[in-house]
Amino acid sequence: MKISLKWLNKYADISDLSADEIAEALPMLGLEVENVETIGLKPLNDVIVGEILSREQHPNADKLGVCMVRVDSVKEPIQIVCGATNYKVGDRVPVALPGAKLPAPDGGVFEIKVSRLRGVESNGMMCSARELGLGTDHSGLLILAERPEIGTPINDVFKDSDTVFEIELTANRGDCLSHIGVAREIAAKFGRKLKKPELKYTPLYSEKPDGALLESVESQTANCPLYTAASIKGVKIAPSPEWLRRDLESVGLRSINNVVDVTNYVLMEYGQPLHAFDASKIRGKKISVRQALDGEKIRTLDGKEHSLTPEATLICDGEGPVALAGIMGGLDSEVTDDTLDVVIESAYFNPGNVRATSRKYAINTDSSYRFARDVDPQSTLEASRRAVDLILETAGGSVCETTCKVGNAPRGDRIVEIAIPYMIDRLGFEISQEDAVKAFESLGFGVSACGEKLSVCVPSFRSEVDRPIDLVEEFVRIYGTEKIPETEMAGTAGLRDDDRLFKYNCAVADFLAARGLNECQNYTLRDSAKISKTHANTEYLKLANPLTSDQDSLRPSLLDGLLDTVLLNISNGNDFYGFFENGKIFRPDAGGEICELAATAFAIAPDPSKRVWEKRGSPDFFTAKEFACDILGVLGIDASRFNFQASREPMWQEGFSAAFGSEKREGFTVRFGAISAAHLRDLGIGRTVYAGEIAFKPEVAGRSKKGSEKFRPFSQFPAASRDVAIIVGNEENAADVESEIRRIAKQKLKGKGFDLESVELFDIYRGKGVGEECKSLAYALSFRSAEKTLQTDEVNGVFDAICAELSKKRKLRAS
Amino acid sequence: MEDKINDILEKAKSALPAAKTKTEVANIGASITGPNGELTALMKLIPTLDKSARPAAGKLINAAKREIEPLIANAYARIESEEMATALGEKPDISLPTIDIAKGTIHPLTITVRRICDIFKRAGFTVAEATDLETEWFCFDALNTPPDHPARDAQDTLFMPRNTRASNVSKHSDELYILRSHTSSVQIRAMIKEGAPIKILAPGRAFRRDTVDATHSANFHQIEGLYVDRNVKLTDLKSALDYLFKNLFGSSAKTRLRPSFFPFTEPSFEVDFMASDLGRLSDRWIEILGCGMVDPNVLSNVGLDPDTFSGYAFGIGVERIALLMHSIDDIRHFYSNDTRFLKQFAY
Repeated sequence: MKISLKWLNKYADISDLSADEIAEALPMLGLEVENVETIGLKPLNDVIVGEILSREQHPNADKLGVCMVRVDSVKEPIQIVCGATNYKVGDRVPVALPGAKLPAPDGGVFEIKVSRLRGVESNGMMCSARELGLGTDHSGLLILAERPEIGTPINDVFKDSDTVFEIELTANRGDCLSHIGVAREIAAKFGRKLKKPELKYTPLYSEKPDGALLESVESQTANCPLYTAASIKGVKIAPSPEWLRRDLESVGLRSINNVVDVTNYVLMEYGQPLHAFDASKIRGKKISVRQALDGEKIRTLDGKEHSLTPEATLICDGEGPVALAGIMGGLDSEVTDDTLDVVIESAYFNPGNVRATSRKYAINTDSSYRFARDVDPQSTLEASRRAVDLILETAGGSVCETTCKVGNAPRGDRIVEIAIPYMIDRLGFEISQEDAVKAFESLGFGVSACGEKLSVCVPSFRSEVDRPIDLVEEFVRIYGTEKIPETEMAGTAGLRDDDRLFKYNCAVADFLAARGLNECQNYTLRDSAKISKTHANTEYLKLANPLTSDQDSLRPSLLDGLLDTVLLNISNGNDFYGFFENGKIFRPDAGGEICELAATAFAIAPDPSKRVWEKRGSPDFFTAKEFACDILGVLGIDASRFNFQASREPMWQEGFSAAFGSEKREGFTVRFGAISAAHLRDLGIGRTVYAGEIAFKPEVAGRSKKGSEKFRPFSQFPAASRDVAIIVGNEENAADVESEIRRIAKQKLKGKGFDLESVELFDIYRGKGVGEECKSLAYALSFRSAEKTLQTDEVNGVFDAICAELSKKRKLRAS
Repeated sequence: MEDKINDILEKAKSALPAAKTKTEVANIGASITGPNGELTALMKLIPTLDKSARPAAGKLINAAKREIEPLIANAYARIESEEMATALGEKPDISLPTIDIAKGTIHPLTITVRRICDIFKRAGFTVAEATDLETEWFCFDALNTPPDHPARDAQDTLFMPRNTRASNVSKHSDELYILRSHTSSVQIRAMIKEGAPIKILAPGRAFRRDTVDATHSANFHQIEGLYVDRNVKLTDLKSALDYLFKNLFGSSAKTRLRPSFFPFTEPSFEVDFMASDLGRLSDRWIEILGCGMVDPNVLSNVGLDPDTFSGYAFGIGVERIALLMHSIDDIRHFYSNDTRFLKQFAY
């Protein structure tokens, strides 16, 4: 919203305040200033009126003249070299003296200095209009035909300048969508008095019109609790007077004709949108406000036709809709050059209804913007009277004695009680009753004190000041936040600790970064068409109102983002080992129920052809497995005994990937291995990528027993180790064989007084002596007793029994 | 006898230092002190000697033994050290670059979150978490934001379809699921669960229906701060903000509160700060975050008595702080994950 400084001066005496002072004060009142623009001549120092006394030809340049210019009635004239030709001796022109700073075309500043032009001294510059920043005329010097006094500052010659503030308002300040509203704030801040326009027209109010231009007015909807219509006969539609035209143009409005301009002027003055109807076009002399019928049509002033639903509120005449209430008038009832009689509508429309309708039909007008932010229902009458005064002044005509008024203002002034000790309590610093009274009164609130309690009368124009805490805010605004005293930050220690998920995220990030991976942040929103290729049930992850199709869906995995990262870094020729990300993912089950999971994923893809002076081993499946198991370890989950299953999802390369867990049963899942070659090719990644993802319900992080482990004593006696090699089918899992060994050992150790401490696979052999389609798995079994050193015989006894049992089903290989 | 002993000694002194392997040392040892060794043989001769000569002979043999044993031990030690040294292989050129995987990096947004959480942790704040998927009630209604508030419009907030079900994001009634538009929703979940007093930070992602450009992102990070207790005052909020910015940008950093409006705080403020080492942005007010005193309606909505409790809340934009701290010019750098960017920030 644009606010003119000149215009503000009509409502408060602030002529002594500079534009800068006001631009600085407004934000501290809660009115954000987006832009400050100067119209006309900017304030310029050292630019004054001078008279050209003589002109000589420059000795060294055909196109330059050397002038003597009088710039002071007493002092000697000064010599200025000038290239213009449009002047004659005796003309008065603007002269920029050394030190003057003129606006440069690039937005910067051009400083005038004493200089020599082709060998002749020049002590200033005579200026064109463009050089002063007054428009674009650069055809010659700006001749001051009015012949102002020599030495007059140029700003005193061009007084018509103005400063326009572009103000951005928060949703609660509907009262400031007008010059009077902003003037009230500035007046309050600087202790000035608000001067509202004097109103001459004092109508009688009646629900029933006098019949001259209107026969009936009614509102059938709660979305219009107050509707008024003033009638003026015999206006003469004409261009607006200069002052009206200029004021409107300064805030970016186009002048149309006197009547329409008045309604716009009052809108900018009071913040109350008005509408002027050509009375002859109100069919049946009847106005009614009602909700639209389903499918009802209206053609608005902008020429567009809208098909409406019952949420839209309409102004109708005897035959049909003439305006979309509070938003835009209809094309058929507007004031034209032939209009003789006008009806001025001033009403209050429900802010939510106007907002919804204006959004729905994408019509944003100065009117809808204000109604949506809750105009002052009391100013409805004032604004209407003001408009009548100005129309009579600018367009003539005669006004009906009666203004038709149906309904009542939905909000009036109200009393809010507040105690000074309460204010001090909320603020944290001492204030006096006088401070409070002064602040409230400056805003136009009525205050009466009763002991420590203030009874504050909040006027209707403040829609959101209803509670004591709201008054505290008003006080702080006016009192000045800069006066809030600085105090020390107070700390308290409590039992609450960081959420375990946060702790996990920190720990796992540190761990993975230490292992050579770079942490990433990828977007939560992804392209549904792409994720559906590699993830299940993704149709349930689609947003209802995505902005773009490449971000129309929640991510079911972090891996897609990490693969993007891998691709980007390969494309950019970056050297890297791998990446990881911590973040939320969303997994729908087959029935469509979404579970939000915390997740950690990694992707390892160093350049296999990278030349190094000594080669290290490349990552493989077991690199991924180790990362995955270590991450589970950070989460507090021991993965050493998990029965991993081959992963069959399209993301993963079959036979080179594994998975464990389910969200419903264990509360977590882990997947790792090589990304499927086909998927990599789809993505355009030309190297092997080993990756993994651990996804878990957030509460799993809290389940970890980390930090509260209990010490278990260990044996002081030596272990005894025995090796066994077992021949198994190529397809058989080592983990299954190991659990078989453990199960049998447990049987055979019963009552023996010692334990199998560990089973470790130390060799896999294929070839001679093992047979086709088979492999030999060699395990070291380690036995230990807590009480004694084991004797060879007792170990052998158990070991032989284990071997005997194993060999019933399998072939053992002689070592 | 004495000559023989001297011979043996001489032999040990010359042979042991020359031995190349542990076996060689063992063999030499055995040939002297072993059961069939030369010194053992001499020992066995003692009983055959004249009675008066026996003590002297015994002494001589024992003295020789004492001399030889450290020679053997030294020989072992020498060879073992040599073996360990050999295991090290050839001497490297110490100027060669390393070849193993270099240390990875922590993302600058994570670094910023940790930095801010660490600062507030010293004042007794702890981290709370909640879900990114939220409902309208927790994100808006409970935060005193009326149904027709512009922030709730489908133009600004990302909604899930009406029939969406989520197993671990609880609803208040039958409101719609959305992606949380701010981390303020964590205030509501935490206060309902934990009551008051409460002093929490909630870092996390938030979502707006914004086109991605240099200053906007479809998701971004915020840190919500909330302190509710008996008698929390506006001066406490101001001191918390001063404390934060002096910690982040040095003791010369200043803050100012500009009156503003948020439905869930009253009074509400935009905070500007000023610091002297921000390059082009030094010594001028920079808009940085929104804050205010928790609106009494919000306290009532979570079952706290606004006459007993009061509090403050603030929402910090993590990207914004990180952009300023590191003079980064485009928010998209955070989400492109180019290692040339990631490697510039150390934690």
